[in-house]
Amino acid sequence: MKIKKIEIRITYFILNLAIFLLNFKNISLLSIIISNILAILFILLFEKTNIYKYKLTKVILTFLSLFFLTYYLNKVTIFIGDNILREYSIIMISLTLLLAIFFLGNKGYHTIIKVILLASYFILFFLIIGYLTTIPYFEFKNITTKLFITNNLFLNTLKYTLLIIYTYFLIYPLSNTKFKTKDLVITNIYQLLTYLFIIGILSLTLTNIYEYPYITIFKKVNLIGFIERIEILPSLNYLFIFFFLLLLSFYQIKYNLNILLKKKNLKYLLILLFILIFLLSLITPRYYILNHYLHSM
Amino acid sequence: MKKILILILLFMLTGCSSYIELNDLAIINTLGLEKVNDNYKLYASIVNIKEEESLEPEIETYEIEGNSLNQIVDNLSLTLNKKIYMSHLNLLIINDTIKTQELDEIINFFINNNETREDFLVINTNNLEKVIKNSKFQQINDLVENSSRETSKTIYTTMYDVIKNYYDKESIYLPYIASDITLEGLKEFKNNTYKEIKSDDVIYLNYYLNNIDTYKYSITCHNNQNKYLYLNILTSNTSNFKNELLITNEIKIISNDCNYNQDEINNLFNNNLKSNLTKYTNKKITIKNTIRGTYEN
Amino acid sequence: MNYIEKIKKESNSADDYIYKEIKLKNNKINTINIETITSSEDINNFILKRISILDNLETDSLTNYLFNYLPATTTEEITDYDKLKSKLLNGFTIIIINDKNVLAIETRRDLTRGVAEASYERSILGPKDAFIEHYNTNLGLIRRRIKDINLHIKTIELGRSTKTKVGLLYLKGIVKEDLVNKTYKRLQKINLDGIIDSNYLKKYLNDSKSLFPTIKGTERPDLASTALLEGKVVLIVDNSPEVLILPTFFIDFFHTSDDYYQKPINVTFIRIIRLISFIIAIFLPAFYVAITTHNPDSMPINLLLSFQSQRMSVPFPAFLEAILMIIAFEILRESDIRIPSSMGTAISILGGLVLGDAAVNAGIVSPIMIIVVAISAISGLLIQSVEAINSIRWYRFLVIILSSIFGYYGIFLGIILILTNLADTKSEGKDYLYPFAPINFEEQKDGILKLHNQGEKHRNPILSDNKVRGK
Repeated sequence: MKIKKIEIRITYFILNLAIFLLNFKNISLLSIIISNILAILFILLFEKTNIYKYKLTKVILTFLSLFFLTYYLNKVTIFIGDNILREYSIIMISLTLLLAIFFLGNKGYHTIIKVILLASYFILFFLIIGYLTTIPYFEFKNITTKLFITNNLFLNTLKYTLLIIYTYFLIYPLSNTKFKTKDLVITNIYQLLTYLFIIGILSLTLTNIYEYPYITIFKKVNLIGFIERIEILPSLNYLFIFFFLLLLSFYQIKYNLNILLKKKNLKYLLILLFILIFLLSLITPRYYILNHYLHSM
Repeated sequence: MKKILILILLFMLTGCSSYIELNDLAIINTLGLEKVNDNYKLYASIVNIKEEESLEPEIETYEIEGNSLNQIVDNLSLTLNKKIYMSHLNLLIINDTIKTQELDEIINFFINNNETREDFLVINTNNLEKVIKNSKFQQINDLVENSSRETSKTIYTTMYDVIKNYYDKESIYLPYIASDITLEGLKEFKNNTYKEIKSDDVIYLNYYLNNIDTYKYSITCHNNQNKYLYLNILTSNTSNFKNELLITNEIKIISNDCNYNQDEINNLFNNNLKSNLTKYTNKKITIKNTIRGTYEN
Repeated sequence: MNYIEKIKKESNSADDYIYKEIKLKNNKINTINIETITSSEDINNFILKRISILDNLETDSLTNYLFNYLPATTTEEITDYDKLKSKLLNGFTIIIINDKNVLAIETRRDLTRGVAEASYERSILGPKDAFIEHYNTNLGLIRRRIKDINLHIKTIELGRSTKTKVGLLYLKGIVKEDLVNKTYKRLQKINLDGIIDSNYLKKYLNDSKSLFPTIKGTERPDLASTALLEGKVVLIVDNSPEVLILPTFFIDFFHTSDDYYQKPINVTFIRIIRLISFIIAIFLPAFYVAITTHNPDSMPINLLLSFQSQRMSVPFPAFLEAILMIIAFEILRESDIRIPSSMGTAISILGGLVLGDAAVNAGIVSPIMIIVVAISAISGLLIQSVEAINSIRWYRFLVIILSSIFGYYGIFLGIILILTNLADTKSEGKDYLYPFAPINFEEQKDGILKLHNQGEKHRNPILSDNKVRGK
């Protein structure tokens, strides 16, 4: 069965949201705008040249995916350890997460896209609920001109541009649907608004202090005396979004290996891959943005 | 079968390290912190539940001393034989011995602890031990919340505000509670010193900070000292422009024994507000009022 | 050769086989019938009476006369022994004329009950009749609703001993032909001793490993007719009051026949309730375990204190308490199904009220746990399919175990497992989660929401090529 355009757009939206949230601490308003414009230009260029068919692209993408899968597996594991399952061995969380990724990733792209679509209904529902509950805490005075001033603008913009282009390539193994500029712009305007929304609620100072500002905004919620302490729902919601980024990174590796090695059955290779990613994610150091910020005060 | 095996394996491997029964929690409701001879002294109110369903939960207060906050919490956990659970903390009481250095440690403690939520009230008092031992469950919280909402004579300061103002290097305003558990205005913390602000002055500070919810205002009549003009300020908004302070009020007249007309009321109210606001700003002050109610009896 | 001797030998002289020999002047006529499945009144009135007045005819002309003038709906001339046997076992009376010519005349006795009210798929609005254990009656109930010459039937006899008649119904012009052919081929491949009920076929028509049923059985003729009009295939099995509808999508378990007899806005509301109850049925106990054992920070202080006081005297950990309560509920439910209805009230009072109350007072379980399990169990019953309800049970256990190990993260893992399982499922080659994944917004208007009225213009594109309704 053919995968529809709308399904690809939803997947792209979710992947971009994951990248946006996982890099929330490193980006600024300016870097979002610049890197999105750059990324859109690149993507439109790729649409014409179709560089995905070259072998070299596939090799590069495989290694890139391996890197990002490991890096973000570590990051998402820490996210779970901080927000959902405290006081738990990080090893167990990343092991189970990796198991879930391999379990679903080996089912084929039809199943993957169907799971993403099903989850997207819930993701959308909880995103809307999130906006509705936090909007009473939005204050315009928090949005100041300081938002445009950032250190390391060049490096951050470059990184973010690369990541957006990377999410574009994650879609490729599923379908080679052509994107329209409109679809890309909508996704990016959404990110911009979300960024402003979070800053508007939390103020720039607190946004810089907290590791997960997009969770912290929900800790403020206390409506009609009973709707409070709801941050677990957005945490789970974001976890789904992050999970799909990891999942498609894995699928990219598997898909490319299948084509490059010209083998149907990659059973032993996948077991090796599992162990490799698991070990790599353990070695990847956990870094504290928070403490860094505090010392620089 | 394979899945069940994996489940059982997981169960045995993890040993449920984060599993905790509700009755093993020591739920901390209120924390009091002061510094005595280079040591922290911590008072912790712990909510205990009796099996008989009583309306009021029983509160026990513990006293403990130590070098650092983390050490104190560990010691407390050892004495109680329970897990210290800070996520339902709703009040932090400090006194004048807590200065910049200590505040830095407190903020660091709360930010780095993912379990806590920084939406609890922070107050200042001169008699910490008495206040914490005599106050009832959520009593102070309700007192401060009500008085800030109904009379605007204090500011409901959460830990978020403290953190934000601390890093923005602005004044931190804390509600000031006397030893007989009554509100006595605010304490302003700036440049490592505390300064007291009287209840009646807090209203004008709130005007300056755009914090006014609603309050009642009374003036004696100029022709008869025994008669009063009562006003209810329903809403107020302050816009802080570059060289102008624009205040808009919505006022309802409760009783007008002096038979003032609209202009007289306007002038009386505005002059009083302007003269009191000059303490905080040199900007030009513009006040716009909409007054409802009867002018003459 | 002698048919009578042969039958006597093979049936081991069963005493409900009636053999009668009528000796006329020139001719000898033998009749065989099985007393238990034939109507002796019909035999007396329409066969024996006629035969006795006959005489003086040649063998062939006698056969000819009987064939043409006996007042029976089905009369057949039989040439081989196997056919004779099958006719005899199907309630025909066999007439052997001069040991030479053989006729089979239908004298079947009506062994079924009358059309009754639906027993487990109840509805307030709409028709009340239900299928019964008789093939022709069931077919008639559908024929009465769809008066279309295009309503085609492919019949097949299944089961070596039972020789059960299975009819495959479809509406030509609406249904996709490959669905009919594929299903028919699958039916042909079935090799069994006996088909006692339509549910026997489910295993053979189903190739998914999912816990959820991919074939829906229904006892409502209106539901079966709606399915036919949508382009689905309906299987009627003789002796079974349940007909099978295939393919069945996940969303079909959230639809009832009432939904099409009411205003769309009310239907939307009740369907959302059904979806929520489905989610509650699976996740509520797990959510409770997660919230009390891993993340007490996500409940307000008053709730936390209330939970704490309730769990004070309970000796079991929350996870074990939940499992025990769910098993207790399953025991109650099973006992309620098995015992006669006259004793049912006693069991429900004893089990539900007395035991529940006593257990709370004795401090074995906390009241909140009883509430949680009861809500979860009741929510699970909103779906009108026993199989779907039973599959919810497994998911519930899976998620509870995961959440007791991993808290909310376990629930996340559980959702991933369930979604993968559902997304992997296919019903007759069609995506089980259609129209949600893959997306079809037009069809979603009759998914969880119901946005359009009876005058829907389009047919489901994955069930029918003939997309416009009313043509």
